[in-house]
Amino acid sequence: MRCREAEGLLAPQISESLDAATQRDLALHLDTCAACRARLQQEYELDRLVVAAVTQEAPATDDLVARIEHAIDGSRRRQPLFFLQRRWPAFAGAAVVVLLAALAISRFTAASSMHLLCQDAADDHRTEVVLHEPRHWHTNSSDIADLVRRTVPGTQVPQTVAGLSLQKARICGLLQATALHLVYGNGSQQVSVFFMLQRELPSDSLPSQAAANRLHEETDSGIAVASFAQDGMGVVVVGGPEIAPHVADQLALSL
Amino acid sequence: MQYVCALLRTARRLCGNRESAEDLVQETMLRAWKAFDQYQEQTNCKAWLFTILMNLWNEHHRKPWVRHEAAVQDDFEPDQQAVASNSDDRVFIHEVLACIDRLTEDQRAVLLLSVVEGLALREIAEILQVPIGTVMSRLGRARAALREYLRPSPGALAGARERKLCDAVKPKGY
Repeated sequence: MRCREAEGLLAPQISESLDAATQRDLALHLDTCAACRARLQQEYELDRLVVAAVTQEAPATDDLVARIEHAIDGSRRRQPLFFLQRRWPAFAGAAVVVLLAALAISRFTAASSMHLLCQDAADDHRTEVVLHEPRHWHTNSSDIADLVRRTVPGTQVPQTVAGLSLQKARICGLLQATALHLVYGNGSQQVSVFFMLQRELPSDSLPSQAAANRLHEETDSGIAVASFAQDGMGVVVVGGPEIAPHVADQLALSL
Repeated sequence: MQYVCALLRTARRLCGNRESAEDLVQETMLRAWKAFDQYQEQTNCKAWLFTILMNLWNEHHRKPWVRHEAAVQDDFEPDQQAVASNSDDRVFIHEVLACIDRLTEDQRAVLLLSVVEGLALREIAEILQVPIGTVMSRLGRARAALREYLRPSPGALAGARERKLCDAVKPKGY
């Protein structure tokens, strides 16, 4: 080992950071090199001088320790608040994510419920009214009144609406609810009106009529669906896009 | 609280005045208490505390704990338990501290952590988040600079006066 190399190892030697092999090599060099031994001795003396000077300064006072303990005590009492304060961005972020997720799920669920209800009603109208698939319909007014009592008791079902007359009725299911399916028509067009108890439907599956937030939806087959809820009653109107919304509006006013 | 003294003497040399140093140490201990769950057992607690202190220092050293460039100030308070024996020694201590304070911050930090606090170079590298080679070179430059600063002093280093001083003072925590 040369002196230049040994010189770079003196500080690690003092701080005991050398590995065993290097330490052994350095020791061999120091045994034979008086200059490096003197240099190492100087390093030790310099260190002692630094330590002596720095440690001469006043150590931690009781006041400082008391201050620290007081601060820790205060922090301990406020720990939950501190915990939140230190991590408030994370908590806020998580809260926002959860809220957005809940909102999205809620809106998606509501939107899905509304969509499913409307789609279900539109399917019934298409198959049973437009395509005339065989179903057992009631056309007698007394039978229809009986159906009304059984499905949506207390509801005054109009005989005519928007120039269309009540033609027939039957009970069906929309989603999980029991619905009264009424068909109004004239010589050229027919409209299906579904009445059901709102409590039997999934929440948020119908817009509020009071909020004037009636849902109108166009299906792929060009059928319009209008729905609303009023006084615990759910109403879905399915028909041509030029007539269904008007029927819904008139029903909302007359019920 | 056993490391408060070590933290304070290092903070004192970093901050340049006692009030800021105490604030820095208090904040270090408070942060350590709050983050104690992050402390890994079987590791060097002293090194962990110095890591927090140096991080705080790096975060704030130009704000709350501003270093006063007047290197050694009038608030020098010798440890009554290990006080230098006479006024000459006190003056010399003052001179040595002034020389330490003339080092760059990087050199001073490495010198204090290694020489005074006895931390391994590897630990210092982790504390300062620099390669160990950087620690070694800073330490080497700090020693060279310190020797240079102390050279004008009568009887520098190996002189009888310094030996007397070193003998008079029993280093603590070393």
